Amino acid sequence: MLVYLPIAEIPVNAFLILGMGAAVGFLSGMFGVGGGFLMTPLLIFAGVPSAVAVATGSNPLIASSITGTIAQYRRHNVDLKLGLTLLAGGTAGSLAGVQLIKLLRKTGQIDLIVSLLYVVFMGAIGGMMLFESLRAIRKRRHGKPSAMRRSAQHNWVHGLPLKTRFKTSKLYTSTIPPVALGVLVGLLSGIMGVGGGFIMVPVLIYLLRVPTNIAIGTSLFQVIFISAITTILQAAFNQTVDIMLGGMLMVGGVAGAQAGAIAGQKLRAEHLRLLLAVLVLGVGLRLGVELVASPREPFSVTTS
Amino acid sequence: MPCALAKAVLATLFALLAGFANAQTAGPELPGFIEADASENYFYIEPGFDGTDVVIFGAIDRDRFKGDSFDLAITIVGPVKPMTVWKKERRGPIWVNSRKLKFDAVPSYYSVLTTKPVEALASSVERAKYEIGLDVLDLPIKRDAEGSPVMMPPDEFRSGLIRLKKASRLFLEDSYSIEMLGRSLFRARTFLPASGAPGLYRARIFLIQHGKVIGSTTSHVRLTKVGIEDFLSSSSSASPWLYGVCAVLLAAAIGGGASLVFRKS
Repeated sequence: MLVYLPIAEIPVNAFLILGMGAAVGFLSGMFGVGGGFLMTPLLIFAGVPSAVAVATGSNPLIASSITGTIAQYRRHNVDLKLGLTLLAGGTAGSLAGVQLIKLLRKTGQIDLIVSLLYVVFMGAIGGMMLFESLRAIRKRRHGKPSAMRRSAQHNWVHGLPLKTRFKTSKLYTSTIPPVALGVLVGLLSGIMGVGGGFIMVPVLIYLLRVPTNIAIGTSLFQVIFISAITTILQAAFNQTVDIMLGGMLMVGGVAGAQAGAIAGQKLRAEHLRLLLAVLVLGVGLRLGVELVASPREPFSVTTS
Repeated sequence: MPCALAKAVLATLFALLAGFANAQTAGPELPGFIEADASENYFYIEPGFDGTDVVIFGAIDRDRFKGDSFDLAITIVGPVKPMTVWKKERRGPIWVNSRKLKFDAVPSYYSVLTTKPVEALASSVERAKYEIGLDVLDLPIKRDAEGSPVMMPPDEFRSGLIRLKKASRLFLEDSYSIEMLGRSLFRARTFLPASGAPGLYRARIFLIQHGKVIGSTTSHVRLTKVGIEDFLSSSSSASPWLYGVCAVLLAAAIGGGASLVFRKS
């Protein structure tokens, strides 16, 4: 069944789009990442112009992160205080990001910069998570309990000033790192059209030592707001949000998110981290290969 | 179906737009020998729109043109837009968009339908007057203050652009696609993909004899978004902030609704 998209001005197969929404929603429910880092490339693959793909990608994330957050909240996995702290930085970051992308678009290097950012962040984070989760799994095999969360052990992050207590996460730490993390993720969400969960979750786990479940729930919570802000700003400044496309992705996405949350419950934390690491590394690698390999068509066209 | 009054109003509007379009047309109109029109002048973009066939019917006036050896050519040109063509080049280990060329007016759609291969119709000089053929299609490039091109030579960018447009079926040359139905009637059919830009499409029909264009006529086709397609696209540009807020509310409703549904089950 074909549906004509009013903003993208092309027809797409409705079942393909629903399926993409469901697949991304599944990952979002399972890992607590919005899945934007998969959504944008998938949409471009489906023939959606890249400006519309980046802008519309954030729209369905709102829906799936709302369902995801409600599901996680019922399991007491959302640290509201930490979430709001992240959000304070995130709002500022995404405002700057949307302006920055306008500047980058003028230079014509936007695709390159987005790809490079993906490759660098995904390579580093995916690699780190892969290494760590494999170690944790091996430890468990040898009969030792997983010692992922060492609340007694503090790193340099916990030595910073402006300390406060995040009860749900059982943390007593400085507010500077969560705000800074929020700014970084907000910036990236504006530039890359992603919620930034794939950066947020690992940093919360490894740097701030937030328990995996709570990192996932809290990241989902703040993705709601970051993606809502990004959607409104993209619609206002670039007029590239396609509601028809977003709506179809949402319908698929919320169903997928429910399934993903259930599947996630059945997996051990370190297995979840391993799967996420493989996924992140895979996408990063794929983009890296594209940058290095000789293109079949050296020319490309943009309007204006 | 639009009522008679609406039709009259649209026809007037059409005539005005046609006049405007003709002002930019390459080559003079040579009326008299042929008459032609598209079988439908309006195509509506609805949610199920997947491109459309455009059929052009016409007749040669046999009282005035008695020759037996002649050719026909039809060009259909969609709304023009400025476009930038980028070329990737190797910079160290990675491929970068390193050079660009701006084109001032690229038709979103351009097709040439003919009775024989385009090159055999007439010399490229004659065809260039009327822009019959991809090789003579006028794709003006952006020039600097002194009027010289911003880059020399721009040919590879032009051919890159044409290649990309051909790949998405938005540029095409179709020889032998005009069918003669007897001595004077003819018919041609082509496909306008759904990715063609909404707007006014100008179809020019040419009668060619001994390598010279001796008769021409012009017809127009309009591609318009209607219903929800029109509503969404015009709201997105008319009230972008409200549109953004609505996109968020829709997402919140679907997300929240799903949570309620799945909790019960």
